[in-house]
Formats: sequence, structure tokens, C-alpha cells
Amino acid sequence: MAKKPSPEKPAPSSLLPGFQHLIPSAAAAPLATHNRPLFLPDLVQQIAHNKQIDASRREQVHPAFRKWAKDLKQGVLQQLHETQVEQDFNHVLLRGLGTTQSDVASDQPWTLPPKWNVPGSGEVEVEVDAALGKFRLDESGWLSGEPLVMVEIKGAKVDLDR
Amino acid sequence: MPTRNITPVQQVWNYLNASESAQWAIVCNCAEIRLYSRQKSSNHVHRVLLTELDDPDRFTEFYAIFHANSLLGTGMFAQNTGWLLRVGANKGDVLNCRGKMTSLRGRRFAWIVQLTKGIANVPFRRQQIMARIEPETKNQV
Repeated sequence: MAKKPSPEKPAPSSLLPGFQHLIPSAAAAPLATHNRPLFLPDLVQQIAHNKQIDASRREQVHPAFRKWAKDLKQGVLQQLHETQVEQDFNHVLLRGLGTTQSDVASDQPWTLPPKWNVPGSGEVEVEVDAALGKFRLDESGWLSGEPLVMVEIKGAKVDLDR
Repeated sequence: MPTRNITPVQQVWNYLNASESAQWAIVCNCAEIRLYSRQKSSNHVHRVLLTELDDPDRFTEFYAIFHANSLLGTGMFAQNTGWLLRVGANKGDVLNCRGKMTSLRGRRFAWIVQLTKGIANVPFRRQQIMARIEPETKNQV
């Protein structure tokens, strides 16, 4: 049987400069072959249909992510500076994913501090873009807590593996 | 901690290693979001392309894994992201073990088939071993 020819896709480099964003996968290069999935796919399916997840809350925040995907396809996000993207990511996406910031009631801990320092080489401390965990102000007014998730946000043109 | 000349993935792993309490690392470039675990190597990654999140099914999976309650193990999420990793590791071990057993069984079967066809089909080294064993067995009888 003759093999069906696959539809030809133009290579991103062959497009005019500034139009690469029209290919949705242009910004997300394929993963290296040595990478493996962190989770088993059938377990991901199981957790996705967990009855404990508030489906109505999930539907409420879905439009924000749909807009992000649309902006990405239209090349809007590619025009933004890294700092602007970081702000949108923190305020729109992470908040949509249930994080709370310091504007919650004062006696309540929150999960997303504005900035978090991690120890670097020597006495230098490095600020991560975001850290998720349980945070509160201690008696002396200092931010204290334990980060459980470190978040690094880059601009749309940055390759995560280079 | 120098951040020049390293990839964003290496950068977030440096942050993860520098913090005693952190268990997860997320790195995002607007187009894709990746999740890494301290309990696995940087070769193990959960990657989501953000352009796919307009699809309800993909978003359902994404929400279940990346929700703060799921990542932080708080709230009512008994089956959270940590559970996914723990159960996955156990299940992965079982699958791995099963795979190895199947492979061993296959090799043993192939060996029996070779024996029934006659000793000529058995590799020379095995012939030598068998020749050494056979007289000893006869002596025992």
C-alpha cells in the first residue's frame, strides 16, 4: 500500500521574521530524548477526574487560561517584556490556580509571597520569581514560612533548555 | 548563585537544591510550563503546552496537578500531586519488575527451545559448561 504523504509544514526559520509565532509550537521546542514523564499517564487521568476538585471553580478560571492560549497563538505574549509576563503569570494564572497573596485576612497564612530569597553562593541571596508555600508575618513583622515550590518565569522567546 | 550561562531549567534546579523545604520546581516561558520534583532527576518532567489549555480535557489535567492545594498538599485534595508521584513510583517499580520477569521468562523459553533442537545450537561457552556438569551428575547417580 502506498504511504500517505504527510502534510508539509514550513520550518519556522523559513518564515518571515516576526511571523514565527503563527506556528503554535514554534516557542515550545520538542523535549530532548533523555527526558521521561514525571507521572504515569493513567494516574494523571485518575487525578484529573478526582471528585474532590471543585469543578465549578475550575470552569470559572478556565477563561483566563483560554485567553492566555489565544494571546500566545496570536503572538501577543511574544511582544511583552519578561517583567510584564511575570506579573500576568502571578496575578492571573497562579491566582487562578488557588494561590493566595498577602491581601488575605491578616490572621490567615498565604501561599504566594511577592518575592522570596534563596541562599546563593557566598553571602549573596537570589530572588526567585515566585515561591509557593505557607507564609505569614511573624511577631516582629518579618515574612516567614517554608517554600514548597520554586517558580521561574521567562519570556516567551526564551528556550528553557538553552 | 550565578545565573548566567545556565539554562532556565538548571536555574530553577539550583533554587530547588538551595532550599531545604522545597519539593517542586516550576519553570515557564509562557508557551510551556514544566514541573520537576526533587525526588526525581531533572530528566523527569511533566510538561504542558499552554496553547493546549483551551481544550477542556487538557485543562482538567493541568488544573488537578498545578492547583496550589494539589502541589502544597493542602485542602481536600487527597489525590494530590505528591500522591501522583508516590503511587506512580510504586506502580512504576511493579511494571518494571513485571517487564524484567517477562524478559527472563522469554530468555528461559528460548534457551529450552535451543536445547530441544540439539546441543549444536547451543553456544560454545554453554556447551563447555554443560560438558563439565554432565559427568558430575553421572557420578552422583
